[in-house]
This record gives sequence, structure tokens and C-alpha cells, in this order.
Amino acid sequence: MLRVGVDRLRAERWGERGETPTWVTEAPWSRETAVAPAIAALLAARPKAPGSPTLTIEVERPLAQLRRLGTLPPVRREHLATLVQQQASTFFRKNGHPLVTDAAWLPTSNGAPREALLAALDLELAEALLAGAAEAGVEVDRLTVATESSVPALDLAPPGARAIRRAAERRSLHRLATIVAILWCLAGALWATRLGFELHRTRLELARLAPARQALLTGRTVRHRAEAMLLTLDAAEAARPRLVERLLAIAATLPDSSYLTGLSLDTLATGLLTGAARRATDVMASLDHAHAGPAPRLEGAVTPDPGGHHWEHFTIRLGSPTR
Amino acid sequence: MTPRDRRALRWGVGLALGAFLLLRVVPWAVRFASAERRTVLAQRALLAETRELIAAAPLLEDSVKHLTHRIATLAPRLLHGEAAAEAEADLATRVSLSAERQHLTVERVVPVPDSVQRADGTLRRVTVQASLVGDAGEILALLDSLGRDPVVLSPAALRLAATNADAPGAVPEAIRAEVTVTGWYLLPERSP
Repeated sequence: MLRVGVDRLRAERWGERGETPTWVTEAPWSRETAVAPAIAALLAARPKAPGSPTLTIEVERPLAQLRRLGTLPPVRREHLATLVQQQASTFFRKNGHPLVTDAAWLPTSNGAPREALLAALDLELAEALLAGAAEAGVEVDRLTVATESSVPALDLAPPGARAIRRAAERRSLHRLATIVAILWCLAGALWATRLGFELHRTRLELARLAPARQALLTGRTVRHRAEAMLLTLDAAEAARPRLVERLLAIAATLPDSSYLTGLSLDTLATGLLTGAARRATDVMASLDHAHAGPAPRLEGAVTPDPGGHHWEHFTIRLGSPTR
Repeated sequence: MTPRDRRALRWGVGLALGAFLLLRVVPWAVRFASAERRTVLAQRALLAETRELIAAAPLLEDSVKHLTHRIATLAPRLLHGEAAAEAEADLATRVSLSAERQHLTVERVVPVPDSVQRADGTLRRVTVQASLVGDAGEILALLDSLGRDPVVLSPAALRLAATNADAPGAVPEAIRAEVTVTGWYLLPERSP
């Protein structure tokens, strides 16, 4: 850090912890002797350190002018800085010299009116300070005014230096964006390559196993088909005696005084019995009692025998009623 | 061209390129990548299934051996013939022979249309209807003999009508019977 006073320059190097300076040196200067050579001479004596050296320059008052104002319109910081720069002669002494200015809003406590901190530096002096640092081979990362640590840092670098810094920042951002884009492209390409390899590998493996797979699938189909055939035939075989069993069951349940003149039966548990008996209801009751046929019911009227015998002609239907 | 023009040109070209990348290239790349990924996943699944199939091959082999043994016993249970007409003829012959053996009078044996078949179409069913005349014992004996035939013949429906319904017990019992019988035959596999 380089502190610039009215007639003295003080250079300090702070340790890692930042508690005490590890190196301090001072040198006088005046407007007549010019500040740039003085800075160059002062920084030339600094101890060498690894990495590219950077420097923060703090200009003390009254070289730098500092104001606190509470009457500025509430605008964003960038606009505040532009406003102050445009009206520099209103807020600062110019003494005929162009000024480089900056401004920032101060933090406010509850309910307190908002104040702005304004700073200005002679443009010529600012350029001389940067020139001195450049002559010593040191890059200036910040040129500001010495203030309390609680207030925001103000940038008093000349417009040219600011433009150069902004361009450098833009370049850095572009470089970073390019690197990120390249990394993303690389990641995508790697992923696509891996996917391609995987696809190729699985295709090869599938092609290698295709004959075995086809043979096994055919074997499985044959097995399923054979199993199905056997099941079908077993089921058909099991159903063979069903009709005879039903016929015998009906014959066994008919009362002695009855006979059938017609009978229809199938394996779907439906049927039609026509015949005659002393009492048709006895036939119904016998069939129902012996479960010889499902849901037996008389169909149509029971008619007496036209020959005068004591017979009743009936029709009995077996199976679920038709819907 | 002023620096401002050059800057505007750079921005324009950049925006056009960016829009092309964002609206055309990126969606295409995403679609392509997801399609490829889906293909890889499907192929992986197929590969896993194939490996499982290969791992289970010994079991399949045992099962096929066992089934082969059972299939060997299948042929005598089926009707002869490789077409419906042949199988129907075989079924009709068997029913006629059985009926004659039981001293039934065979009036006619006719095929009945039957569309039942296994889902794979190899095993098909045929049906015939036989009109017979005889007594109750002979008809029962026929049904019993059909049920014992080495070929799987299933009596599916039966219709009986007494020929002398008005005079029960007056003359020897004569019954007209219509028996529906089904059997199965194997359709030979067509080469693809």
C-alpha cells in the first residue's frame, strides 16, 4: 500500500494476517519535484515477493477532497458517480484543474437520512501516481482516498485507467466464459463419445449373442406351445366322462313311475327333459334333491295324458335361465 | 465503417449465431442424445435379458427333454390327418366303428363346423354329429367306449328321442340319438 500525503509518501507491505506491516518506508515529495519519480524510487527499494506485485494507493486529505452530502437525489451508485462527475465544480474546489471523482452511498442506520460520500482528486496527480507505479513495474489495483474502513471504497483512478481496467475485466470475463464453454463442449463430447462406445459395444455383444438368443427363444416358444397342447388335451380328456355321468345321474334320480320321451344334454350344464310321470313335480323334486342337473325348472304347462291314463306330461329345462 | 458500426455488426452476428445455436443446434443435440441414450438403455436391457436367458438355458434344456418325452405320448391321443377334412373323416370313422361295435344303427355321421383352436393355431378341434338308433344300454355303451378311446374323443352333446313315445313299455325300447363328438388334430407347422 502506498499512502500519499501532502509532502510525504509512505509505502507499506502487510503480512498474511494483516496485523502489522512487514515493511515500511517513507520518502518526501513536493509538487515541484514531481510525484512519479519519487514513487518509482520508493517502490524500487521494496523487498522482492513472489507473484505479480499489485498496489493500493490511498491519497490522504487535503490532496483528495472528501464530502458527505445528504441532499443528493436517490439514484443508483453508478448514476450517483456520473452525477457527481458531471457537477464536480459544484461539489469540489477545482482550482482550474480537471478532477477525477467518485461517490457512494453511506450505510444508514434506522430512520436516518441517506448520505453520500463524495471524493475528488486532481486528474493530473492521479495520472502521475499511476505513472510512478507503472515506472516501478507495479500494477495498481485501486486508487482511492483514505477514509474510515466502514465506508465504501471509492475509485479515483483516471478515466483512461478505468477504461483500461474495465477492458481488462471484460477480457478476463470473456476468457472465463470461453473456458467454461469449452469445458461444457468437452464434457458433452466426452459424454457423446462414451455413449457411442457403449452403443457400439452393446451392438457387438448383442450380435455375438443373437444366434444363441434366437435358439433359446425358439426353444422357449416350443416349450410353451407343447405345454399348452398338453394342457388342452388333458382338459379335454378330463371332460370326456362328464356327459355320461350327467346322463346316469338323471336316470338314477327319475322316480319309478316316470319315463322320458326326449332328452338333450351337453357338457355346458344345460339340457331339456321331456317325458311323463304320475306327478311331474315329483320328477322336479327328485332332480333338485339329487343335484342331477343345475337349476331344474318346469317349462310350459304340465298336461294330462290324452289317453286317459294317470300320467302328466312335462318339459323340464336344466341350466341357468336364458337372459 | 466506424467502431460503433463494427460493434453493432459483431453483436448482430453474435446474436444470430447464438439464436441459431440455442433454437436449432441445442434442441437437435438434446433430441439426438436422448434418443441415443434410450437406444443404449434398451440395448442394455436386451443384453441383460439375453444373458438371463443364456444362464437359464440348462433349465430350459431339462424342461424340453421332459416335454419331449411327454410329446412322444401325444400322437396316439390325436386324430389322424393334417387338415380339418382328414381329421373329420377319421373322427367320423371312429364314431361309426364304435357305434357299430355296440350294435347301434348308424343313420349318418356329419361334420359340424368348429372354430376352436389353440392360440398358436397348431392344435385344432373338429366335431361330428352322429345320428343313431338303438336302445339306452347300447347308447350308454357307445358313450362309454368313446370315453375310453385312446384318441381323446369327447362326447359334447347328446339328444335322445324315444321312437314310440306314445306307448311307453308297449314295444321294445328304441331310441333315436344324436351324439356330438369332438376330437383334436395337429396342424403341421408351416415353414416361414
